[in-house]
Amino acid sequence: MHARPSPAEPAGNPPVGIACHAAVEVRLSELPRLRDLPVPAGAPALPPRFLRHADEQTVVGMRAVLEAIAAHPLPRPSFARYGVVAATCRAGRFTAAQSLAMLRTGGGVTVTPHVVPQCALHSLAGAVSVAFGMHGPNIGAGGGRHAVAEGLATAIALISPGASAHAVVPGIWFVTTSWDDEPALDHSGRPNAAAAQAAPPDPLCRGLAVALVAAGDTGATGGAPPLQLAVHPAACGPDPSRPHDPSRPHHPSRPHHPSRPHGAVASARSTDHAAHDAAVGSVSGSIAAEAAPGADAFTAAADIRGLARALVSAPPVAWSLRCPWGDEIRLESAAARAASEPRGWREAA
Amino acid sequence: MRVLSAAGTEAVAITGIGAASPLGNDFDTIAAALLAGRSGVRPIDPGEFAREARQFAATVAEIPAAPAGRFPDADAGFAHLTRYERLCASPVAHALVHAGLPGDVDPARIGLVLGLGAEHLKSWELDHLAGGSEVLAPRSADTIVHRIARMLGIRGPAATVAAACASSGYALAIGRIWLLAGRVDACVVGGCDVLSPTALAAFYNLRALSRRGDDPALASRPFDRDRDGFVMGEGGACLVLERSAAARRRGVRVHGELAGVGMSSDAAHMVTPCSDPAEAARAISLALADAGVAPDELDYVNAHAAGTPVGDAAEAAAIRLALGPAVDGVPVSSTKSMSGHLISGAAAFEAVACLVAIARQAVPPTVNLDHPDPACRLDHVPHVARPRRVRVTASNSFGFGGANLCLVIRAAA
Repeated sequence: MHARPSPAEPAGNPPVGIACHAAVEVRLSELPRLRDLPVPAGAPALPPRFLRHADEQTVVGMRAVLEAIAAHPLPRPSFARYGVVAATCRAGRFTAAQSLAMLRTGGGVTVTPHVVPQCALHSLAGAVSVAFGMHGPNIGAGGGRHAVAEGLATAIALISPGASAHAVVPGIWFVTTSWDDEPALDHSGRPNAAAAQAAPPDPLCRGLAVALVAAGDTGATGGAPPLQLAVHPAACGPDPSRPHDPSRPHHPSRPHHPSRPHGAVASARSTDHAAHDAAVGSVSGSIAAEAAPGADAFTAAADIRGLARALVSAPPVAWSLRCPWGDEIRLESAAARAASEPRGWREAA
Repeated sequence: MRVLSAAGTEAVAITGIGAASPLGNDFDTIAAALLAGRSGVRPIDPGEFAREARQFAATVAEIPAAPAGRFPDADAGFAHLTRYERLCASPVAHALVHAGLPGDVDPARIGLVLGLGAEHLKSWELDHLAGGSEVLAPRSADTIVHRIARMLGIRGPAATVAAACASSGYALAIGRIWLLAGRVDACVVGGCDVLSPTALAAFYNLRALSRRGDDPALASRPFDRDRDGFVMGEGGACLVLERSAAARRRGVRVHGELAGVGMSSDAAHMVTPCSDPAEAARAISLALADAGVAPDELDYVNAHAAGTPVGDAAEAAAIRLALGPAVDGVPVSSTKSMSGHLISGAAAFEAVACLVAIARQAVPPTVNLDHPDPACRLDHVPHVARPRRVRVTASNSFGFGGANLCLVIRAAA
């Protein structure tokens, strides 16, 4: 059990452990086949034709969960009380474009009723909950380029004991998806071959599924999870170099070597980003934050790629993500973390 | 000093309220409408919406601008926002001002969680209707929650969450957890939705909307034997949450407490409520336990009941299961009979309805409840408000994907 920090200290959540994970990369051309692809060995079967009407990102996210379950150390705990937090990036766009085209030409009767249940921000979380019988809360989070930060801030809060015993769940499946580059669509809402010159001809969608448990939970993996995610609160608000400023683009996360200082790596700016800054330029107005299309700086893909690469490296490397509000979410080894007392928290008797 | 609830959880105060709704945009106007049984459902422009969908909905007549002089960026930028953005931003700004924030609270310690279940679908559609092509090649960089945070100077954690029709309720839940975990000192929580032709057509084609077009004000009939679907609405509400002790230190008025939250999932179907009420009932029981409240201590339940044949009966069964023998002494009503279904904004607006019941010591009615459905046997409050002592309330919200949520809101200690 953890005591709450005093109000004067920046507070962070206790770390959460990673029981298992899997990442997938799916080309647009592969998606139709993936809807009906048999589940990997060791994963539970999906209900028949379960993904028939699902959004593309739901298909990819569901596959990531299936692969992660298949890779989960045995014996697996029951997932019945687990919750789901699914952080997608602009999910539902294909169907939305097709619905708008249909609405224009055929009227309201032609709009698919699946657009609401299958193509909204909650849809991936709901699908995972339904498919695997998970009765904890199922929540969509993010929806844009900060999906990973928003999703992890939500998921870690749900699993931490800082709130209420009645809100805590034994585990959370955190699932996140994004296209590397948003596919350009034609006016019927289908991928636009003519526009493919400006973007990869066969765009890539990434999915990452991570089973999060309390850091000290030895039941999920037969021992304390060796990898943890922890939120390190901002000491003094948003990092001015981060994209809370509308005139600056998103600086995605990246894996880094543990021996390097977190802050230096997290705030480092690559040549690509500097060039992108120049392309975007300064934006006037208080709420407009328009940017050039196409670059993955405007999707959540770089964050997903960074965390996925860090997790699959052997041995896993540290990773950090600076949230738009200044917090830093870090992937750490449990052993390394145990060596340093997390700021703002103390163990209660 | 820490003020603990009966369950040992630190009390969370509601210190600010903002709204943009079919029943009004401030607490007193909303309270008057709810207790008078006034409907916000009205005809809508047939040229603007899909002609096959019925031509009525609960719309927001006028969206209040952000309070002048309080947010420099909003003074300059509010008028340039889209209607959807204004519907989202206005309740946030008014809730902040209502709570006297930021005051001496560090803006980096103020969070923002909005339940926006279909932000992109709505934004793409509104852009498309205005001649844009955002849906074909996205250019917008940020989501609404970050743009609002920037405009209003909120510098703490900010997130969009979604659970379909329960979205803004989950925003309240996450904001409360952030607060209790010490990550923020105050959090603006809530949600909103906007009418759009595609959403109207999609819900209509799902056969979820009422087709009773002869008199729009009679169409929303939760728990009634002759109900045939819900009436879509737009708008929403935001609340400011703070620890009770901190609110007292600031000397601000506490309108009520978010005392408990319960969350669960049916894990049964993407659209249809589960025929087994166990998980919906579990969400209610978890919320009561979280608040340290026994079923017979409840003074009012604001039901999710939207007016769909299946959903209302399923919820009635869940309420009966969760409250047990106490159920017959707990008044239940659905304010969606007046406000319509605000979708993403519904749960937050209905939290405001619970605060109205506490402030006015009266239970808002379910209008149009002429013939209560025997399958929905509860202590209904048909047609007219019921004066009674109200200190502890619960508000249910359920959403596609099997999401169940219950909030316990009670009078300030």
